[in-house]
Amino acid sequence: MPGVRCVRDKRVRGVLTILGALVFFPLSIFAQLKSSVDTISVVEVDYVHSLKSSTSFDSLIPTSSLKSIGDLLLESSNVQIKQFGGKGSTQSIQIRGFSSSQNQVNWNGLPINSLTLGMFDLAGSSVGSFDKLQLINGSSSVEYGGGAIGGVLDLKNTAHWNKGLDLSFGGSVGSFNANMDRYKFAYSNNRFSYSLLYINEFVKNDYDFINTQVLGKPQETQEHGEFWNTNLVQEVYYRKGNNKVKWVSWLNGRKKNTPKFLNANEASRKSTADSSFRNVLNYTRIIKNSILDISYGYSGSGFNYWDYNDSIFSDYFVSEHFVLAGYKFKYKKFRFRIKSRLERQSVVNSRYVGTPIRTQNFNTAFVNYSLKKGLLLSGVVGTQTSTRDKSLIPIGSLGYKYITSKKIMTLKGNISNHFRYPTFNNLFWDTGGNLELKPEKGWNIEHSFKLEKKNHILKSEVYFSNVKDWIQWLPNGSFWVPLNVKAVRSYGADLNYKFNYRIKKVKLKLNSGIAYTKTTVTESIINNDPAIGNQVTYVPLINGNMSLAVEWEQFVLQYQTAYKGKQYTTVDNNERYALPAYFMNNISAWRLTKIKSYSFLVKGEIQNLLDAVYSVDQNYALPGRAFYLSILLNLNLHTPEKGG
Amino acid sequence: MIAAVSLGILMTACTKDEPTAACEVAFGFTSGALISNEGAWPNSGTVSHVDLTTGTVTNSLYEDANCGVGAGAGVQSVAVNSTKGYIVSTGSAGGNLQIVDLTSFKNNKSLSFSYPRYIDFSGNSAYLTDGSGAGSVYKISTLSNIVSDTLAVGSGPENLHISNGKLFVANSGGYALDSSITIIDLATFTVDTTINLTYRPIDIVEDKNGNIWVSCQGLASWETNGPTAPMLYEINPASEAIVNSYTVGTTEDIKRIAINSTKDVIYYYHEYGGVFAFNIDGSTINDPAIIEGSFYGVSVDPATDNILTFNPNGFTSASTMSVYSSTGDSLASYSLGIGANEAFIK
Repeated sequence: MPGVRCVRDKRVRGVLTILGALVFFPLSIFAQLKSSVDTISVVEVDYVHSLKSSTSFDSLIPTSSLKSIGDLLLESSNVQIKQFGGKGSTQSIQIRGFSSSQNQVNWNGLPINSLTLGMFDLAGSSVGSFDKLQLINGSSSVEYGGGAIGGVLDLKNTAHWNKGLDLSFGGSVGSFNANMDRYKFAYSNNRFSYSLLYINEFVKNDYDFINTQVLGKPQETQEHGEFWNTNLVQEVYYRKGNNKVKWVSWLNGRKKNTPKFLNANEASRKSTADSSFRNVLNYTRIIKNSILDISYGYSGSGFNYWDYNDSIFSDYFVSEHFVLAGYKFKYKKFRFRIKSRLERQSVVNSRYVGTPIRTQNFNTAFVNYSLKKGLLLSGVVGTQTSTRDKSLIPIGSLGYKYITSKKIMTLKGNISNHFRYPTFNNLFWDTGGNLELKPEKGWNIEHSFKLEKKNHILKSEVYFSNVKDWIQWLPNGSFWVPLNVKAVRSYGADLNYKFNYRIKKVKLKLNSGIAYTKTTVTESIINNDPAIGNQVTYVPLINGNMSLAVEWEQFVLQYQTAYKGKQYTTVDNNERYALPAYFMNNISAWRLTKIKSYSFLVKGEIQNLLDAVYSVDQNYALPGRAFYLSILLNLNLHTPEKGG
Repeated sequence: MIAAVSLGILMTACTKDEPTAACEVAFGFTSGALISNEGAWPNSGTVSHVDLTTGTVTNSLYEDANCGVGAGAGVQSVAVNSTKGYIVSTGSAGGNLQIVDLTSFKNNKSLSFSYPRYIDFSGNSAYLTDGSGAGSVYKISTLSNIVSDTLAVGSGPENLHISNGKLFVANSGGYALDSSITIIDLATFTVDTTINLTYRPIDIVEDKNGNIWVSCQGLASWETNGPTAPMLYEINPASEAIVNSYTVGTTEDIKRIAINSTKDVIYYYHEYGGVFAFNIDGSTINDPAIIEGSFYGVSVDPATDNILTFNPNGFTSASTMSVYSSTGDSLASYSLGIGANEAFIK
């Protein structure tokens, strides 16, 4: 297959030198800077706010609400999104070189990674189902518990107050028989807020492709790739005085037909269907200088797999109860937060021995100390216990944040440990499940800076992480067994630059980023393991993205390009099996019209503009150029009384 | 701006590459070892060649000769008959028999089956085992490359062996359970008889006396009726009776076997316990392994009696083929494709 080869060793070193200089140069002027930050509210006793580098995609939600989260991240960030096919195919996130099961996805505080596989399938999760979408880069186990080794994708719904009756209708149509309907009803006054969102999606995925695994390499049309997806999200909020109650529910049902592998003879007769029902009930009370926060969450999901080709059928049901209590308060220059989380996880699976239950408890104490104006020192201590691993895992982090005068520059740095418990499949699978598995553990150190001046924002971070007892399935006779096999080290740097420029009525917006990720195996229990010293599979050394938008009144024209570096598919980094680097280019244009209480969005988009041939693995057909048209009408029919 | 420039540098540093897979590879097989590499499922497996005299390794023979198109997922075995090579792949959904011209490895014919495993030849016919459940043996004309007949055998037929006009088929059970071998009369292509052994018959060799030896894998502890011990059986082809049986372990373990050039020593391996040399008179039944290590397959070079072992290294990287003398001295090591399992040696 034709590909793209990057001859860049010296250039990469040059880029890294620049990155290093950008991160560490500000430290040299650290002592000379004056702070403008004089007070810290209790609310700012927040782990991410104090220590972490994060990226918010909130500003993209209004014009990308019909897009999947994975597609948005693929276009607008440097994280790795792994997807095996067209829309609706399994889509997972990899951050800083760690696998999808080593990154956590949270919905309103509830961890929603699969207990069986460890990952979260982003397919069918539309951007518009959430009000806040944040990517937290790097190890975050001290805040979010096990699994957040590479980072966290944090999805949240928030209340809209005093908006009256708000109706929203929309939908999109596009290539390969893709269509989506979206309806939202919302009402809010000063005390009460309610919304109900319904999204229905279907994609046939009947795109043409060149079958590179059949003699003659014929053009074929993909069959049996349909995707059905329905989401219902309900939000209820109530507030009175210092009390606030939040109840959010998310009902999701998906069915996916699995297309045949390119080298398969028979037409596929394989499908999956899953449904999930998630709830979070939250109570918040402000008591003088403190905030009490209590949540209960429930996640229940069922999964079915049908393989009529090989007569393999399986199903399972996962349930998770989650209680979280937090208390924030301040004392002189100290700000404290204590948090306790209790989870009860269980899975009924026809392939498990018995019905396993796991209870986990996670307790942390977080403290901020304002050393001087603009300079915060932060620390976290805590413990994690699990009934499936009797040992207690101590948790700790230490870091600082410095904001210079006029808030031009922000520096953050921290060191912390992280861990991940084995998945239920690792532990309980009837052929190979290993109850002796230990949790993966390691530590992370990172530093970031952000420079904001006029129309420029420059953000950079460097990091170093390691993980020991990395879990991997290895062949053992006629079946495979998960073992604590490896130690893995990951280090790298991210650099992001934003620029806004205005010429009369025309605005230019540039957003760009580049990430260098070196993730290698350092130790292994396998004799002469060829993985040692090599880049971990499916982790590109370089990822990059850039978007340029031109705004004129209500019109926007945007061009995006994303670069995905070469990916090795074998642990010995055999070039023959490597997936070549590629660029993905998209172009979109939209008009967002706002007239009094009405707004109307019409958006056209061409994805994979240059019809690039790319690959996520040699056996999967991927779509070429695709066209999409979406509209969204929002009607605010009534404005309730003001005040309160 | 620096980010944009950095990205620009990378973008300009990229050049269009030539296709990685050539379509014209001049490779003619005359001697040496042809190795079947199962591959990382569901991706296609490959075929490697090792010149056992010079040590030259050529990987991905089939792909390179066929413009990058793979031989199919799970290349299980390779065999040679006259001027043709036969590559058997179990497939990701339906398997293939790729028939290639040995002078170029270009594809002559591709035949589809459900779950093909091994092939053997007699006269102008090839016989192919097929099926992960209910099993069949297909009769294929080596002149026309057309399937001429089929015959039902036990479940999950694995290796087969032709001797004195009879075809012996080891019925491993596949995804089900079986413990039999089927003996087929080739003159009539009908089942002569079925002999019950222990669970999961896998491989078959013939000794210097003309007796047939069958390795049975046994059952693992997690399987219904398991665990059961792996065994070697000696069968007289004339009387179709079991002559001897030997227990060679405690649980599901051994798989393929190989025999030396004088056909009096059978080599079997425990996956994590090394390679064992078994004299057909049973005298070395309790001897320790002659080669320590973890293996996925074993073959013997009939010209030198050297033992070839295969380690797939977890199916996530190149496999290792190690060559040992008949007494277990390490001689050489080669890097092959992913999931190497055995060799056809000429």
